Amino acid sequence: MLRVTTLGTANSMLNYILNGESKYYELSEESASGLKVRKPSDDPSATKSLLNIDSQLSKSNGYLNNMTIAQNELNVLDDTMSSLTNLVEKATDLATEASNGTYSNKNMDDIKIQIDGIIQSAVDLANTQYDGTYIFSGTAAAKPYTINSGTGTITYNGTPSSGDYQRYTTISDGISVPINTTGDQVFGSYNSTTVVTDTVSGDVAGTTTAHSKDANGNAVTTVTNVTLNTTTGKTTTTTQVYTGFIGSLKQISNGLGNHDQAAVSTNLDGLTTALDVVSVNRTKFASVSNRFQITQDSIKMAIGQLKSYKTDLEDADLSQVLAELSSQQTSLQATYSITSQLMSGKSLMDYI
Amino acid sequence: MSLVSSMNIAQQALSVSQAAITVVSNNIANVNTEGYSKLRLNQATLANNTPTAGNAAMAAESCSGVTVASITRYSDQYLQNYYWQEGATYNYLDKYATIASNIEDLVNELNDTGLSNALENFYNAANALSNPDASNITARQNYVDAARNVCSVFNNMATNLNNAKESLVGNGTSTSSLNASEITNEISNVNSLLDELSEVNAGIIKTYDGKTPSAALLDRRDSIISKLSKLIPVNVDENINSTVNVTLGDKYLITGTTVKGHLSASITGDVNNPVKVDIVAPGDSTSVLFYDVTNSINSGVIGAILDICGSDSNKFTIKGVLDSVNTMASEFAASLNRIQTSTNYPSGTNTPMCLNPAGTALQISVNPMFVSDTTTHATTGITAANITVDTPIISNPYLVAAARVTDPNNINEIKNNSNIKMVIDARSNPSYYTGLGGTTLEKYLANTVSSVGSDIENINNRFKSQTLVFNQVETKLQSAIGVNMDEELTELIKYQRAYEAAARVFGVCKDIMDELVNLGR
Repeated sequence: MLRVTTLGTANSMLNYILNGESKYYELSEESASGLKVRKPSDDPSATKSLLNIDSQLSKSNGYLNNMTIAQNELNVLDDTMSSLTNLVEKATDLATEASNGTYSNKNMDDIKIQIDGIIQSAVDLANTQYDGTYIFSGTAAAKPYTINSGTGTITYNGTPSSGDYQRYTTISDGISVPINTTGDQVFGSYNSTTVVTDTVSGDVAGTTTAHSKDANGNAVTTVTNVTLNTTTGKTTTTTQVYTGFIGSLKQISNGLGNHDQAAVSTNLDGLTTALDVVSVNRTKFASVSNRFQITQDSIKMAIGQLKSYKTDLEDADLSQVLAELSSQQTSLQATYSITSQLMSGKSLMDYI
Repeated sequence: MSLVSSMNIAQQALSVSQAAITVVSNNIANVNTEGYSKLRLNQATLANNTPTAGNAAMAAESCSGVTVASITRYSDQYLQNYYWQEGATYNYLDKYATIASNIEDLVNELNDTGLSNALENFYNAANALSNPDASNITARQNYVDAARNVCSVFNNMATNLNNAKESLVGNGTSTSSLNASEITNEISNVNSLLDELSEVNAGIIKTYDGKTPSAALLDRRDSIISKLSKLIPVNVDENINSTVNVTLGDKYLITGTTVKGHLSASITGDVNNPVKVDIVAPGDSTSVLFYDVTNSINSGVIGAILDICGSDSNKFTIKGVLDSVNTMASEFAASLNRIQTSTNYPSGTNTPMCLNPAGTALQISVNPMFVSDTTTHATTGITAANITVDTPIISNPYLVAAARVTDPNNINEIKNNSNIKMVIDARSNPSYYTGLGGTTLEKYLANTVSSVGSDIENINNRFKSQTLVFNQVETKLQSAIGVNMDEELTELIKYQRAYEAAARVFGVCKDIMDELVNLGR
């Protein structure tokens, strides 16, 4: 038989009240915050899962954002190449006409003006920017194409296709995709260099060996097998390097300027090749866009699942918590009532 | 003659009843005193050694009345010892759980303001830098700012953890920080209690009459020992004369009236175990009797403080949490520094490149991102407390190496983002880290937080069970030694009736005396 003491009873009752209030407080916290895991010790393994889910969600949102930004640039790229296709087709039509033998010189001059216009449009397209970046410059900051009006040279200033020209965007864990190409791959270029040779003391007039000079008058190269102009003592050699669409167009323009139909004809193949090049690049980047679409869909689905898992782990089941809260409240009230009865209830003193 | 002795006997009964009522009154007055042991007065018949020689009339002469034999103090030494032991464990777990809960708040990553949030912002800034223009000065500035934010979160975590530890046990190197700490306070409480106990022991000896020591002093003695066992685990041996000897482990702190030793905390110079406790001569902390009894203090409030501030890897310690945070800081810095300055990384032929001061061309990247000291630019010894972005990078964000090229002569490739791509990859690829045990930084953080949560859950559960045990012991002890109001009232009535009856006898004897006196008239 347990002997009951006054102090012992009071302490016991106090303990019950404190316990009851502590449970009540916990449940109120849970229902007010709506979360059943508020600190790591509430549920350590759920904590680990929750933190991992949060970091996965953050990564996934980052990838989605990357793809959105990259897609904007790819859209600009696609529009540019669509316009370029139109230019190539138009140039092909004009050049085909002009290589037809019945064209007069005046006709050829007219067509040359149109071809030159197309060249300028092509260069403008090549210099397209997206958000301050030249999309055809590779990883360089420089404007892709500059035209030297004196020599007619159209130089590509961006990263060459042999260099590290790719700008990557990360679309998934450890997976990144390049989203750009270079001007020299798609548009080509036209370089015309003219070398003027001059005699340097020691050269003998009339010989077939001479030196060329740089702008400062210093000898820079030895040029062999050239014809020395015995009157002026100078010879001029012009070498032309031409690639791609711009190269072919420039050749055609030069040919039209010289009224040389044969030159126009030989460069028609270059235009056909240019059309193929544009088509290939367009398809390549269209498939990148496709890949983005598929990846975005898959990431969004994964995000949905992760969020649902997260809810399961951390959200309190409010109806259950509120029911427990109500029951705990009742239990606490009962404890209060019993305590007050015991403490202030009957004792022997009332009967003496 | 027998009338007088009757009156004497009645008078003795009155005295004894009054004494008994005094005892009952004392019990009732102390009904709410913690640690009060109930007293009961024991009566005994007074023996008279007059021989009776078989004479019945003489037998009446040998009645001598009643006297107070003893006052019993209700105590149960077994329960008392059990109560002290369980009390030590209860207070140990209580203190441990309280401190652990504070530490948990410092690393509660669930509430979106901590390290995981800072890391998320950092990686977002890295993504923004890589797309579309890695040379953009604004994107670079944001990236550097996000990196500085991660560093300052690390710094804060380390500061908070170290402050928590310092306020408990000092910082291990400075005597003034030890003197301001909680453990010094608790130890001086222990020493005061030891002094008080020895005085009570002395009082017990003075008031000992050979049979019954002073009940009040015994209660006081037990109450001091209860307070003492809250702080440190002590073994108590009772001597014949009711004084006690108190030992900590096997070292005497008190023998009878002598205080053999005081506790004293001293610095160790070792930041992993900043404090040790010695037993010193009372009043002279320079005279050490026993060095380093820290391991004997394995329970009580002081035991909890020592354990949580110690370095036992089997227990939850502040050091354990800080070590994990330091590992994360060091690995974060090392992995990003490798990306920033290592050539041919992770394999192949490549060079990390940053931008020149004008931001117009690439140059080889030689400045590390994170250092432990901005004066020496040291990249070794990086901890959570000292990790910081190096000053050249803070003043010139162009020094961030976003590009990685095969030929370092290609200085025009300023929008190359192959290096920042690696920073983003490092978020998911464990091969960028050497000291995380094969996982990534964010997963390591999740593991750390979860492990802290699990340790604390364990402590809380142990505390809940111990609370039940302790409450039960307390109830049993109270049951053995406590005061029950109804019992006392019953005793009161009993002695009141006895008093009334004795007074009545006295009255009757007096009336008979009057009659006797009037006989001769």
